[in-house]
Formats: sequence, C-alpha cells, structure tokens
Amino acid sequence: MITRRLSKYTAVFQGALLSNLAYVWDIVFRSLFLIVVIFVFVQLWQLTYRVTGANEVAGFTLPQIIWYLVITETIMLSKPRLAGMIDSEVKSGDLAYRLNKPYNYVIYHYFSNLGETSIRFLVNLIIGAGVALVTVGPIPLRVAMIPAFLLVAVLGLSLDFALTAAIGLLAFWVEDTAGFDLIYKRMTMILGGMLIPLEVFPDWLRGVAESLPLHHIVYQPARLFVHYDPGSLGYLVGQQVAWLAAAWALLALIYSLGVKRVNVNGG
Amino acid sequence: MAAIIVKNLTKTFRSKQKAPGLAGSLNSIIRPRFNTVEAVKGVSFEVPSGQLLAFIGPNGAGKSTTIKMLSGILHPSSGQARVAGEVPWRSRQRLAFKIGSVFGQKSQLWYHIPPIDNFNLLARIYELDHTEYKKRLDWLVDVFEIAPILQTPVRKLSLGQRMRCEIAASMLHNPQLIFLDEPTIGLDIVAKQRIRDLIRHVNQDQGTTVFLTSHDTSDIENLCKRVIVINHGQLILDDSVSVVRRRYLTHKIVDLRLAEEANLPPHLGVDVLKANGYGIKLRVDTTVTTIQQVVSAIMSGYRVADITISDPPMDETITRIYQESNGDREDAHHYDH
Repeated sequence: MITRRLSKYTAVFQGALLSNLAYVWDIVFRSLFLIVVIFVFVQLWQLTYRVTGANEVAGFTLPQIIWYLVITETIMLSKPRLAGMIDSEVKSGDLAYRLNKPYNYVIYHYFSNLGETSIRFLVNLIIGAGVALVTVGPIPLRVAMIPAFLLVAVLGLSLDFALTAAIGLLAFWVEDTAGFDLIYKRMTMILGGMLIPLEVFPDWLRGVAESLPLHHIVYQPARLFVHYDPGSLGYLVGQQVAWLAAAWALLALIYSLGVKRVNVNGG
Repeated sequence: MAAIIVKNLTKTFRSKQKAPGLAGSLNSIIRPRFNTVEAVKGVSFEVPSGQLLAFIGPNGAGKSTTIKMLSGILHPSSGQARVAGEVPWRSRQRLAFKIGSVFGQKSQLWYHIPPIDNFNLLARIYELDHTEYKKRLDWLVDVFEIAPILQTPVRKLSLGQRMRCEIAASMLHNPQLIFLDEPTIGLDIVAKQRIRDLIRHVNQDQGTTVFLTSHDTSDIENLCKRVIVINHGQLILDDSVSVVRRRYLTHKIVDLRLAEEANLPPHLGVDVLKANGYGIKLRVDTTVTTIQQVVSAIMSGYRVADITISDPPMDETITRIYQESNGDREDAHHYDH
C-alpha cells in the first residue's frame, strides 16, 4: 500500500524528468548564461585577491570561492518558476483540474518540481564546473562529500519549495504574488549567501542571515561542497530538517485554508 | 443503483466589485465591496448507473460549477450529493479512484512525453495492479485505435488523436463514472464522430456512466437518451432527448425538388424559406397545419421530383429552451418588482 502510494509520486517525478529531458537542449542553451555569470565572478574575485594580496578571504581560497559560486548559481538557476506557476494555477482555476486526481496537490508539485530541478541542476553543474575547471582549476574533493552534499542540497531545495509554494498559494488572498516572490528571491540572493559566503558578511549581518532559513538553501550546500566537515553534518541536517518541518507546516496551513476558497472560472 | 444523487445542491460565490478608475481601485482597497453570485441554486437530480446523460446549458449557467462539486473540487454552500457512493467533497481522493474526467480545453497528459509513458505513469498514480493495467491498456489501445500514436509525444498529436488519448487515459482505472466536459470541442466532423462512437462503445461495453456536457447539440442527439438543461444555476429541464424533441418541435422542414418551375400559393402555417425555380424549402408550423395537408396540397398541384422532410436542427430546440428560461426569468423579475 505504502509502496504504491510512494510509487505515484515517483511517477510524478519521473513524468517531470521525462518531460524536461524532451527539451534538454533548451535547458543547455539557457544554462550557457551561467558561463557569463561565472566568468564575471572570476574577474571580480581575481581582482579582489590581487588587490588584497591575500591567499584566503574569510577562509576561502580563490578556487574555493569560485566553486562555491558555481554551486550557489547552479542551485539558484535550477529552480523552476514555481511561485508564478502556482499563482497562475490558483488564479486561472487550473488548480481545480489537479484536485480530482488521486494525489495531494502540494506533494504532486513537490515531486514535479524536484524532477524539473534535477535535470536543470545536472546541466548547470556540468557547465558551471566546466567553467570553474577552465578558469581556476579543480579543488580537492572527498568522495564522502558527494552524498552529504546531495542530501543537504535536496533538503535546501525542499525548504525552498515549501517557502516558494506557500508564496504562490497566497494567490488565494492577494491579486498578485509576484512582489512577494521577488522579495523572497532577492533575500535569498543576499542573505542566503548566493553572491558571497556568509563568512564575508559583517558579524551583525551574518547573525541576521543565520537566524533565517534562507542560508540553508544555497549557502550551506555550497559551503559543504568546498569545506566538507563530517563532524558538523549531523547538526546542519538537523537544522535543515527543523526548518523544513516548520516551512512545510506553514505551507500545509496555507493550502488547507486556501483550498476552501477554490473558485472556478466559467460555469 | 444511482451513480449520482443530487439534492438541493447550491453554490454561492462572493466576487469583489470595483468601481471604475483610480478612485474606484483605491476605494476597493479600503472598503472592498462584494457581490454574491448564486452559481447553482437548489439543483436536484439522479443519474442511474450506466446512463449516458447530457448536462447542458449556456455559458455561465452553472454546468462547470456543478461538475466541480460532483467531482469533489468545490464545496457546495448547501445541499447534498453522492457520486459513486461517496460524498464528493468529503472523500475527494477516494472518489478520484472511481471517476474519470476529461475537460476538452485542459489536458491531463504530460505534453512532452508520448501517450504510452503517460499511461504508464497514470497507472502508478491510480495505484493499478500491473497485470490488470496491462489488460486494460491493451483493450483501450485496441478500442481507441491508438497503437500507431503510442510513441509520439502528445504535443505532436492532432487534436482528435490527443482527445482519444485523453479519454483513454481517463479510463485506465476503469472508472464507474466519467465526466466529459466538451470532449468534441474544436474537432473536425470526422474526429467528432469517432469520439462519439468511442463514448457510446465505452458506455455500452463497460456500462460506464457518462456525464457529458457539450455545446454541440449533435453530441447530445447522437449519444444521449436523457438531457438535463441548466440555466442561471437552475435546472430547467430534465427529460429524455426524444420527449424534448417532440415537445419543442413545433415545425418541420420540407425540401422540395419540382419537375417544373412553380410559385406555390400561400398556405396557412407554411413559410417559404428558400425558392429558386425548381428547388423550394418550406418551414411548416405543425401546430397550425399538418405535414400531410401541406404535402398533399403540393403533390396534387405540381409534379414533384424529390421531397425530403426533416426536423429542424437540435440547435434551434436548445436555443428555444434557453430563450424560454430567460423569458421566464425576466417575467419573474417583472413580477417581483
């Protein structure tokens, strides 16, 4: 019974995966933007290291900071436009067409989102890693880091899903959720550590960033990729799971309140 | 056993009202005004298992709202319903296993992958037993004649092919009841006929109850024995298609091909719709005269090469039903005032 229940959501994941594989070259071309982004970062950070004359900035060598940025950009550019999609499903009434299927609407979107993200993530990572290898070369990586990194990245993306889906579902009450989504994305860019690691922040700002869940989405997976510390992995995963549980509870609350307001266009 | 039982089903929506212009927008932020719309008003009916029913009405009549309440998507404001033995809005997920739905304007298939992948994934979503599913799939592929397009991505299928796949997909889990909302919309005449044949076949072969909405009256004429008409949220007619035709058919169309050119004299209850030499088209009001009288009069005065007597299109009948219900509503308004 449980296997069958789980199988339906893995089917949704597989459906999203297959759908995105159908136009993988589009994703590849879109990801070429990453080359420009990483190239600009390389120029900026090379200059920073040259001017300061330091080998390390906030504990990161130049190759480490570039690989850190490859991971943060890979994660950020892999996320589909979930809030906008849910927003439009709510407003157009299309959400109704998913409600008469034997699955949970939110979990459906979680697995569909994960399927789409996986393909984009893989493509972005290959392209980003290629640019990093060419510009700053490899950094030492431990094999044990890879499963830990994948776990932390999936937990981070799941947390991002819960928060973004909650924003999209606000469309039950507000006319347009794009403003909330924009604020959320900008906050993730700055306070989530997408542009620079939290170690570079002034202490007070780092304190603020660490008190928010956003740094678990991009900063933590990227930091783990370049500074793998098995000793702190358990604590990190624990924190992520706690934030994820809170965000999922919020999402479930918003969904349960919102679904009662389902409206139907036409008639 | 009844597949659907509906008693006094009512749905009221609140919609925000906004006066025009900037002042109106600002005012609606500070003091929002809401208008209450009764989309469905105390609708009651029963559908026996295995019936093929047309549920029709003009745009905004409350059809979709009713279907969405019956498939558990919407909570009614009041009233009761049981669909396949379930209260739809209380056990939506359980009901989902017992019903299928096809919305002509919305696809339930993954667009970029072929039908076979869609079917395999849907089988898992509906938690189907593998062996049962394979048997069912073989049957559907055979009946719906979709073997040649099974491997083609859905986005590359024609609308008719896609619709056959949509209906097949909605029947994978062998539902007791299927909601078909405009299944022939946008299709050409051949594809429409094919879809109708399939719906009839599924209804007769599998005993599946079919709840069909369509703006195409040919769908109703060709498929359904019973029709329910809803307008302004109220049920205005619930009868067999043949009774509806008889009751509302107050005239017939007579197409004549004469062997000589002629000008027919006026006849009470007969309108000449078209006359061009040998060909004449008449509209005979059967409440004033009989077809027999009209045809006898023509046959006795002229040499007739060919004659066809037909009913006016169902469209006209449906239009009359809608118009009458609009008239009743306006009368009721006048009476209220």
